[in-house]
Amino acid sequence: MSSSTDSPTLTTETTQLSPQPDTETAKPTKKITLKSSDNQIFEVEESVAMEFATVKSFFEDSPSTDTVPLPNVTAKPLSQVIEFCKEQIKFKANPDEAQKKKYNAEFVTEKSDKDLVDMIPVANYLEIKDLLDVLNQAVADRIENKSVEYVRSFFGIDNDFTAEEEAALRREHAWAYEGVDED
Amino acid sequence: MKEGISENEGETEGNFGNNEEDTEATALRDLRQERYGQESMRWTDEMNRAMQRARSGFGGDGGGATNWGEMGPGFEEEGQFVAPPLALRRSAFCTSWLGRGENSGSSSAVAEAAGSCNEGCDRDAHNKRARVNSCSNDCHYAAVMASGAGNSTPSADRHLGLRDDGDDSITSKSEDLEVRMDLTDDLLHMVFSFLDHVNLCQAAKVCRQWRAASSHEDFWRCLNFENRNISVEQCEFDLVPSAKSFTQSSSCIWVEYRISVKRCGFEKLKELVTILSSLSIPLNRITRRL
Repeated sequence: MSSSTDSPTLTTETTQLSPQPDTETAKPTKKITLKSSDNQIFEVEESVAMEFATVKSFFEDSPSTDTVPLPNVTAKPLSQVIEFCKEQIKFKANPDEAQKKKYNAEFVTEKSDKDLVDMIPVANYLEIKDLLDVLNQAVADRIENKSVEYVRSFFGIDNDFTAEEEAALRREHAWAYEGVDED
Repeated sequence: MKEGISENEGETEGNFGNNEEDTEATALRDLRQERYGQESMRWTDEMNRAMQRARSGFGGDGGGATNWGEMGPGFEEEGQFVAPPLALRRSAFCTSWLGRGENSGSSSAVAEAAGSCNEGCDRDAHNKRARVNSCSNDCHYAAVMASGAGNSTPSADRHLGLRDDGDDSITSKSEDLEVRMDLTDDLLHMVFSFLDHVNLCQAAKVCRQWRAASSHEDFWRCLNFENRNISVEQCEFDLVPSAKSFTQSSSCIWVEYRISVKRCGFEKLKELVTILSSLSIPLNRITRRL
């Protein structure tokens, strides 16, 4: 969970993720190097990188570059995003909506709350719309019908309301209180 | 119930007859008609437009709603509206809402109500703009290079050095073990778009940012009280005396819209509920789509 930056363990993820032209397209494809804000290097198939609209347009503008710095993306969410995109490419080549749905569902269910939320800005930044939808839905599902306290702890949010504001909100939303689970 | 709504239409019309505003409000429907083509929903579009301007009259203290007599000139100024056939609209009103044929007061009442809040509308428009701006500031990744991209090419900097230092909510090194996960407003907006109103209200209680995000107008264009048990006791009556005075006429629809339509949505829900309760409109049957 303490995923963050600079963690040496991430290097192993990098190596896991990068070299595997096995499952995908037969022809040897160009590799693209992505560099996370914490200086992790990710080598990915060009086809995977092209799933990232941001990276894609980057390459369109400067085709000669071989390393794409992603200064506001840390390694862990990036590795997960890459994982997701690899799968999506398979589904693209071999469309199977049911399988895709299943994969997407599994992809999010096995992620921690934090992983999910951390991936959202990454998916947004890289402009991976499918993933963004999947993530947003998943997060919404996880906080749906949960108590305010639960949601705060889910996101690590501090309550910054004054007592008066809270009371006011409570009154205003009285109608919405029915049927909310307390965690 | 329904009769009660319609009975006083005549008065309303007399009080507020103002064709210009009427037609303007009317015109609004056409703009969105393609999108919400159902006959029964037509009136909601009009309402929506009227509300968009009028809504802020309810803002905060609700004081704006008291100025029914002072129809502002603002609508004329915005003269971008055209006049579609009123009869059609009205009949849509009648059938979908009141089930009667003589609803002539409804649309004008709506428009008038809207007109009375011109002042508020201007304010609203400003707020809206400001909101958009601040949102883009928050969410836009300005071209500030983050530390990690030191060896990138100039063009890399240009394209991908997107982190705005002022924006502390994206993944960043400030992330600590305490599992702090912040999303920018637009990302929250995306998540919230998957939540229903009840959950949006819950979300509003989480923190200020969430309150603001959850009250975004996008989420409150549609109100659905289906299977909700809303009682007058859940509402406060001290809010909108002027709105109450309106509730005897078909303009209740307007009032409702004025409340529901905008981003202040949840703050105004109780007003809405109050009004509707006093009108004995079966709340569980109210579903809106604008």
